Amino acid sequence: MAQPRNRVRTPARNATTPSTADAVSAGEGAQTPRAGRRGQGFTVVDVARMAGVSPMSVSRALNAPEQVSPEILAKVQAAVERTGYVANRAAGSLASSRSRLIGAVLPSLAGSVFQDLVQSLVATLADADYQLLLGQSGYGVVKDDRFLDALISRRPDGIVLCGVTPSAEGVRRLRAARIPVVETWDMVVEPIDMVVGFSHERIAAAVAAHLQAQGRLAFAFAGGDHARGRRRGEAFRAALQPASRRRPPPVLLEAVPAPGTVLAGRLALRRILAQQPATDAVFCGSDMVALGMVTEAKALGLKVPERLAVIGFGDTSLAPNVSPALSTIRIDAAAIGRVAAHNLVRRSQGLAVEVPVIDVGFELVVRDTG
Amino acid sequence: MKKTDEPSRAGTKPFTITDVARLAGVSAMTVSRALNTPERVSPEMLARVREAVQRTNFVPNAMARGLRHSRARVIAALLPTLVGPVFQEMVEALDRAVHDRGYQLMIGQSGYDPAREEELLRAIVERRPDGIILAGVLRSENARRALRASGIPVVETWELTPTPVDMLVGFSHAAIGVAVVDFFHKLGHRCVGMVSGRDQRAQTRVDAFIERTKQLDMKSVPTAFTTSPSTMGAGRSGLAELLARSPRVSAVFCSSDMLALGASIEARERGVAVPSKLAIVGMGDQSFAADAAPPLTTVRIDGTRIGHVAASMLVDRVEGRPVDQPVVDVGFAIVERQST
Repeated sequence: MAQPRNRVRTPARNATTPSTADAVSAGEGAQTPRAGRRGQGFTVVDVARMAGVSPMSVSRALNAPEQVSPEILAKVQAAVERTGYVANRAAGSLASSRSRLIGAVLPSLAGSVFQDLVQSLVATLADADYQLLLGQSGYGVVKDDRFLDALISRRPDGIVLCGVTPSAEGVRRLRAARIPVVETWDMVVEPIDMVVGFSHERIAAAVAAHLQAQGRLAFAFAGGDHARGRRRGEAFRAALQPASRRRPPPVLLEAVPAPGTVLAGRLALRRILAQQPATDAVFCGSDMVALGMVTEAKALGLKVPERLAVIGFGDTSLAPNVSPALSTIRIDAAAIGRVAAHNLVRRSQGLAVEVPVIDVGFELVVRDTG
Repeated sequence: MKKTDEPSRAGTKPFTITDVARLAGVSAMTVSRALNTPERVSPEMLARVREAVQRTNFVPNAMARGLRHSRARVIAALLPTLVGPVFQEMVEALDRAVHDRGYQLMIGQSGYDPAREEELLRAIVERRPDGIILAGVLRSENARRALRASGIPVVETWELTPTPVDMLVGFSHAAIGVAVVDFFHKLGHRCVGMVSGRDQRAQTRVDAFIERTKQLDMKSVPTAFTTSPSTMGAGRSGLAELLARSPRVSAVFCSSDMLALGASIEARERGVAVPSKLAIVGMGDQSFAADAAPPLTTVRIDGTRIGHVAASMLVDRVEGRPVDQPVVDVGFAIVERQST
């Protein structure tokens, strides 16, 4: 195991002596001049002192090099090189009232359906020179707005909500701070500001029609135990057409703890079959839960899809690779992240967003589980 | 709340502390004091300020406060990827731990690209976070210099190095490669192979794995490298590649549980029984490993502990408390289940 190493030798912050400079440029073994006391890196003043110019000249050399003489520029560049100084944009952001930070609130990153969304959000923002602040809220309606307040207090140039509904109080604070907001994932009825999402109702209708066309008769929905999951379940129930003699088909709504796991799916199938043994089609809230259902069906000797159809959600990378391959709903989460980032960046730069509410749609991908 | 209750402000500018002060009929200094040190203002003033804060929905600007105290209470984390389970536990633990201490997590994603990593680090240092956590150790000399010069406390994670930039919480990838070969050897396997990602850490495990097979006089099939270290599809094609190279291979070490699950599915599709004809070991002990059929033997890494330890080291350093042990090896464990 590696040994704890002593803290790097620290030349004084005003290390201007040639000997320090020589030691630094001496190559391989040389120590980088380390900024002094804890939390206090080299500042523009240190660089100025080392270059023998005023802090204003350093600032000008860094921001508008054409405004300083080649001589001063060279001195400043040498000092910057020697110290490894990186300009402090947190200071600049206050002056320009732009932080170039975007906040994102999501229930949880671990094992969640939001990973692809956040990944494309971060990548798109980085290309536009914005950084992402993360806030994990837990599932459901956010009971206290600590996460939101923590974000608002950092004055981001925009906030992305991923499957999270802030309280009425939280919404008021967002509006008061004049921070542009994009709500993603759900097509919310009363948007705070902008929306990039898809319709759970339309998805439920597509899955219901697909399963009924196969002649399935007894249904179950296994979704997350949160408001969004329940809404999706209700939409599924509402979308199933009454069979002849106007009797609605039986539908069992089963709550699965979020984020969904294989084990949760296995246990949920057992509960579903105990309550409604005739169940021949299950629509799941995630691919992981669907995989659990398929695994459990196999263990119980139930043939998929003959005896039981299983539809997942998300079309994650595992869906086409498990056996049998999962039928599922594909959401272009990367597109949601890209569009959300794009709209927030435009808004934060004072540009108009022409279509503030965007439905990115979905696709029912039919493979081998129903 | 009725609309008339909400004070409006001309234009689209948010309320500032000056607006709150005006509304409360006090000075901006009093508002600031009421928010930061309420015990120093009279109850009366406090009530007026609170009412104005409520009416404007004002949230104090931590970034401005941060500049004055040189503390924005932001911790930055730089990861190769946010997708896939590898760093999830660590990020989740990290996020919760820094939040509990009043900090906000800033996330950067380097995509396993050293040039990108350097560029991102620069962008992060420009924002002057209070601390920086890196998944992996930093290799670029430029980036190491910039980090040291910034004076920002740093924790590198997920591996060990004799030359950390500052603090370190990790485990030895070489030791894992050796331990898995020893484990296979003990089970009687003599022809083994790996399906592995291709980053630096994975390469360290591969090298140690091959070296150990030589020491124990075992045969090792050339590694099947995958470009996507955490997809099931890559695990399936990886195993297919290994079997094509040598059908005699009887034990496979995969560099993630997702790859191992893919390999297990591929084996079943080909009628190769697991574990009697082929033993499979994954890495990470993700939540699905125990629930897979058959349950996966895997190398458990305690990502939650890494996240917790890294967060508490960093916050201690940021807040000026001494860090007794700036380098921590959290180790690993082989969890034996039914795939071996």
